[in-house]
Amino acid sequence: MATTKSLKVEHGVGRRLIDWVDRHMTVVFNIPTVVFLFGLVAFPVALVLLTSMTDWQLILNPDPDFVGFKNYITAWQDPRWINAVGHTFYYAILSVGGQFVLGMATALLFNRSFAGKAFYRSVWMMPMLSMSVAISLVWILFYDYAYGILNLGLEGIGIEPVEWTIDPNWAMPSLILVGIWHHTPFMTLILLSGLQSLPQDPFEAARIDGASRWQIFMHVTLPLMRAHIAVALILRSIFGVKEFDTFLAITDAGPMWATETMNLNIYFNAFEYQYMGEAAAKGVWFFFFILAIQLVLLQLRKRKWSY
Amino acid sequence: MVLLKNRLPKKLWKVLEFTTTQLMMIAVVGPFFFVFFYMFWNSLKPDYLFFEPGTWIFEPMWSNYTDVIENSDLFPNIVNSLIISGTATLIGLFCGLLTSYTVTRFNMRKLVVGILLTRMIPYITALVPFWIVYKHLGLLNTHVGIILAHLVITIPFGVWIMLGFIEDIPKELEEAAWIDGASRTEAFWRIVVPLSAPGMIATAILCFIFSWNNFMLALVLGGFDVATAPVSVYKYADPEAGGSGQMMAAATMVTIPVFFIVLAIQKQLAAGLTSGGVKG
Repeated sequence: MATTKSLKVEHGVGRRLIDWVDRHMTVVFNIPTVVFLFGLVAFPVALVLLTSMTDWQLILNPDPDFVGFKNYITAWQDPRWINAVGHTFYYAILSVGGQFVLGMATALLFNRSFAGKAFYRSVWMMPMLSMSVAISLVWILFYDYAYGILNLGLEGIGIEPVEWTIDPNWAMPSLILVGIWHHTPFMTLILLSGLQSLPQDPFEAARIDGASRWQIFMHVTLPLMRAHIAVALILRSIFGVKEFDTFLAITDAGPMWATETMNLNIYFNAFEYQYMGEAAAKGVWFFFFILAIQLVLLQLRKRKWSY
Repeated sequence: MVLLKNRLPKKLWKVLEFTTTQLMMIAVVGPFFFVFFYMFWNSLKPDYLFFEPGTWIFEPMWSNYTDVIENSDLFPNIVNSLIISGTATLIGLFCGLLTSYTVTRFNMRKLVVGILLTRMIPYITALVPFWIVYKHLGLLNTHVGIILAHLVITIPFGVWIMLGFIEDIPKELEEAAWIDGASRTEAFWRIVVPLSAPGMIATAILCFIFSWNNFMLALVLGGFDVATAPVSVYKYADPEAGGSGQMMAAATMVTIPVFFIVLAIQKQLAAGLTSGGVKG
């Protein structure tokens, strides 16, 4: 009973304070989170909506006028923005798709016990935890036309060298490859946790029925994993459309804006050209795109799959 | 395969299985790891050898590191990053611990949804108003300003990861303390907090890494006086900033510390990264 006694503060201010916290725990415990987070999010939301309805440009037009929803419409008359929307989806779909295929394959590999598994898994996790700007520097050297090791390898097997980040057609695939390298491990982790949480009975039943490995994967594993797959795809595609660091460091949205995404377009508009009103409106559009992606992918989680 | 297994002696089969598994894992993990190997090995390479990309064997030298420390602001910015990410992580962890406790014990799903909604706002959309307000308040280019912005990363992340860890602590332990006369707050402090210590360490490290790696917030809100490590590293993306050797040295300096952390506590990290995602 000694331990329980030490738990007690019998009387005094301390007791009354503890009792008060006890009664209002759901409020008191959430004050820091709510004050910080919603404080830091509510004011930007209000202000970005306000800014988006003005023609404010920091230097050219420092006294903004209210223009209503004009910026939301003129954004779509900007060919660079329309291209940026296309580039964003091009990047997100291919990089997340690649991550999913590779992530699923590696999750299946890691879902067995073998010697050195813990070591391999921690090495595998390293890309996702490394600083994107730092690894961009390595890829800049890899993609170097004259002295990069990728072209060295291509030459070695007798293929013409590629102008990786200089050729507008190759710049985006180059960034997609970096994205796959950087984020596949996260996909692996989530899918692996999904594989480990699956019930064993359906697999045994399928095996008794004489299903092949591929049939089991397609008709048992995948449907049972739909919640994990949905979570992995939602998280990765939301991060995918927001990818920024590697774009700025490796291609700087070039060549000829061929790798400009929504994120970079807003960044340039706001902080280089200082068209605050236009950038704010595009920022709101960007948010709606992310919301839409999330809503679409959530359907994946709800849908009933037959097997 | 099955036929082969039955014919071979058991020991030989085991050796065969071991080597094929290891070779397969090396084939999968190796190319991903190569990027880091390249980064480190080339940070020890003299600059003229970068014009011979096929040369892998040379005498390693450390002068690229001393050059980076002398010629760039990377070192002071690493100190800035430690201050900024450290503070943001502590606040994020504190908020995460308290909120995730009330969320799991009082079933406050709506709060979690609210927190997750804030995560959907892209940083760039929030940065426009942040920049405007910071300019008026004089918070641009200050530690306080960047720390406040980094809370947008660490608080949702802290809540999200701590949720999984707190949920795993059995309610019965707390109930036993209540029966012994402890109040809810005391039971939280004496039982939940100590038991969630491993989870808190994993959460803190993950929050720290994500805040440490963040580039965009400090790029926009920082400046000449206060910037973070990624901003310094980014300056080397310009080929005129220094030689390739210095590029790799700068990249290595901010990457290697993270590695040792990952190797030390990889199991908790994997648990932290996945539990919140699926349960939340």
